[in-house]
Amino acid sequence: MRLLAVGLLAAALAWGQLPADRLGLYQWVSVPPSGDADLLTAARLETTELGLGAFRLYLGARFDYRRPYLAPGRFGGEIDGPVTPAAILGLPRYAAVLDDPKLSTVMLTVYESRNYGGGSDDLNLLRPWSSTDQQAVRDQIGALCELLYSRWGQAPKTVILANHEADEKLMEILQHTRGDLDRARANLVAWTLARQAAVESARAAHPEARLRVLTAFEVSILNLRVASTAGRYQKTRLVHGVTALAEVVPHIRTDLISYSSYESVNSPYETLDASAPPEAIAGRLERDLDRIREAAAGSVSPYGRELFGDRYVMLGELGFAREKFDSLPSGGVLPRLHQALQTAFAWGSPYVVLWQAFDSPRLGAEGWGYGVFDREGRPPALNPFSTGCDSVAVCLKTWAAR
Amino acid sequence: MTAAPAAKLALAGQAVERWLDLGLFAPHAVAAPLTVAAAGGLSRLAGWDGQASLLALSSLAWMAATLAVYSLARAPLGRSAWQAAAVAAFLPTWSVAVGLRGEPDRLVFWALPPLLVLAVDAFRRKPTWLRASAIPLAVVALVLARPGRWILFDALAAAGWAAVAWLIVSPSTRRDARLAAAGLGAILAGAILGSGAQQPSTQDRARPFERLALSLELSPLRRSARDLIDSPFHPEESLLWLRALGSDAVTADRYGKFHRELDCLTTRDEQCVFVLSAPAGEAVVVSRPGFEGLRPVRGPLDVERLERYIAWAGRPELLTLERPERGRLTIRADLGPDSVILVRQDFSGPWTVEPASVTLHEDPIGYLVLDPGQTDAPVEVSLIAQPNALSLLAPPQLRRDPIDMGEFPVLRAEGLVDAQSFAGPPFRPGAYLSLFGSRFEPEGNDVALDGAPLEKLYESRTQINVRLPQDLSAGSHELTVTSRGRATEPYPFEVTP
Repeated sequence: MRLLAVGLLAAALAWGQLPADRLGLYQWVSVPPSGDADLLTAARLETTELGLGAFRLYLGARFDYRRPYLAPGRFGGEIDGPVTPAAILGLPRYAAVLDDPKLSTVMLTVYESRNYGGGSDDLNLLRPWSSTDQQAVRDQIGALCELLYSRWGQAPKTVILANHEADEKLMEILQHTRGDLDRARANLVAWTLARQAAVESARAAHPEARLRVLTAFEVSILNLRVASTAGRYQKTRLVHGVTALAEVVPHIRTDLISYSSYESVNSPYETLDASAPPEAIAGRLERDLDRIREAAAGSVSPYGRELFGDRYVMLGELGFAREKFDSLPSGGVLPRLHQALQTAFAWGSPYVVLWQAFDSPRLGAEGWGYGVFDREGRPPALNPFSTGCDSVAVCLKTWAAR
Repeated sequence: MTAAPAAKLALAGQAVERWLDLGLFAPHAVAAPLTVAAAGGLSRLAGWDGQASLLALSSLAWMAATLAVYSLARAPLGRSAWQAAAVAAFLPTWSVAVGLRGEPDRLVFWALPPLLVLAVDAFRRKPTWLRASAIPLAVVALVLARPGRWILFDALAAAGWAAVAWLIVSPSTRRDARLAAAGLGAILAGAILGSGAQQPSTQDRARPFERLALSLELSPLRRSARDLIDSPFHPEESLLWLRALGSDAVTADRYGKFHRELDCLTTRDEQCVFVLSAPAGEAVVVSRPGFEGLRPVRGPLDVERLERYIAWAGRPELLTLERPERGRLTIRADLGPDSVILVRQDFSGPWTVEPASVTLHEDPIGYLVLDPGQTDAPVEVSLIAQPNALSLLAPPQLRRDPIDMGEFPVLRAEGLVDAQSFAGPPFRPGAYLSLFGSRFEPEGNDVALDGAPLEKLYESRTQINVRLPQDLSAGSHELTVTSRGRATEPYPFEVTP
């Protein structure tokens, strides 16, 4: 961890921001730990308790951090009318994230909503893009930005509006249409451009604000490809597949690229061998950050360039399933996490977000145990790192306190 | 002076009989729910679960009703009719017990035997053609209403009804009949609660409506899938089926096969309610092109096709689903131009759909697909369970492919690679290829290239090596592996010159 701290500090000094402010936890859809009223508050408090200054959450109509994902009656009694991002952010537990003085950076995985017959739902990108979609994005992102500027405009914070892994959405659209790449590309491009335009318009209207509102476009694969195999669209090593980085990013504008980095940090994409030594993560991650930077060079906005220079790739998701990695003879979760964090900050990534605060429920053979905390809110014990810390939480807290 | 052992036994017997009579001259069937009620009340006092308490309260309510009916009807009743009333008196107890388990179909089934017994008895006492025809009708009703699977309760109920039927149609004493009825009621009420086969162990949200539709016959494939889920084997395949069935939870042994697959939400005794993190919903909007590309799932272990099915059916797009009245399901959805609606109801039910322009299709595991045609406007579709005489006698069973219970070979998603470089397609003619998968035979597998046999160079349970022909034309081709007569899905790949 000493090396990690040195690396982080060096990168932070070069960037003019405290390293703890650039590192945070993500809390995605899950269930609240025992005894907690809502998952969002529990995750926020754990994040700040660790001394971290960044936090990422989902801001959409499908999950309210109190009831299960897609539960009937979510947001019931809290929001009258459409469940839009601005309406959600106005709820006390969401607003508390922006209010929290310990959090300087908040990343919102935000989805506009429409009613397709079952109540408010995330904007559906499987269908042909329409003027109604365009208007919904313009209105709802515009309203969200207005809320941000009006309520927190004088706070020295950064808010990043992001999507969730565009490659997943690309795969969904291809699956739904059985391979209509034109629709997949057109929808993702139109959606992203509409969001960017709404944010830029709001920024222009609030030139004096201390609050920075940015956009980030998230991708998750660059060496693998989305391709049809065994009758389904999946992430594969097949060379004839597609990626959002190649198909979508060249046609959009964004302030920042967010990289969900499993492909680089968890195992070499060529072999998918999880037992590869932790030291090898550095080479893979650095290589892939460079590739993303190159692929997105023409898509980053002047504002993004001004803020981040040519280091406009953040790690939107980073994590290791402890069930899969912690018992490997080549080293457990902690040396891998150390290596990935050190590399990302040394490279100059402006932000790194760990996936995730609390464990998600198990689902079969899928990698499990990404949480910094388990379902009971306890930090799971891991094989000790060389500095002696024996859980992600303790390691992070030790580092953040320096 | 002390009584002899035989005399003691006789005294005890009399005491039991007196207790059963309770001096009320009530039907002895009262004793059955009374026993259960007492047990439930005591369990409540002891701090046990609320299920027994509910049973106790319901049983007491039933007894009050029975006594009222009996006091009104006692005088004019003859022996057979009295016994029939005693037999029928079990039903409320059962209804409570069955209702607690969520199995009204089982209750419907076991409510029908009295009809058969009475029909036989009436025919025996005064044979007529009309009475004779009532017997096969009662038999047909029994057959149509039979439960999806049998548990201990069913065996006991069957034996009990046979005994009661014998008592009614044969000369017997009133006391025999009362005692038999009382004993049987107590046993059955306990048996259905204590039966080891917890049902529904698969919390399939389609079931309530299936019952409303009187479509008690599940598709054979889904029934075999439920058996697979309830078995201690095949955890991975069971998990796939839970997702395909749209389940959000499953009750199973705490340390059974789901222990490492799913989270245990709540524990009771040695049972857990295991939860699935992303339930798919009772009705969802799905892709029409995707539906057109699906192929029938051949058996509960047909993993490849099941995974394709889940990829199609498992992604939730929301709609509104209402049950405005019994047997009617109304769906409101704003569909995309290439959307259809998957409803997790048995296709073979006697459905009517409104508007009639909406077409019904069967999906690969026997559920309903509603296709309103290409539209990008809001639609409202009603699905009505409308059994008629014809549908009761001959339920529609449009697809009855035989179910193959065997294991199907699987080619991995990226399982076709160059044998030397491990690179994926495209390949050149003459290339050596490795096919990676599972459930191959150690030897004796068949590999086909575009349907024609291809020579194998190596084979094992997880890998087969082949060589492409030197003169293979450029373009698209496909490989298939057949093991034990069961074929993988065709694996498409490209060949470059």
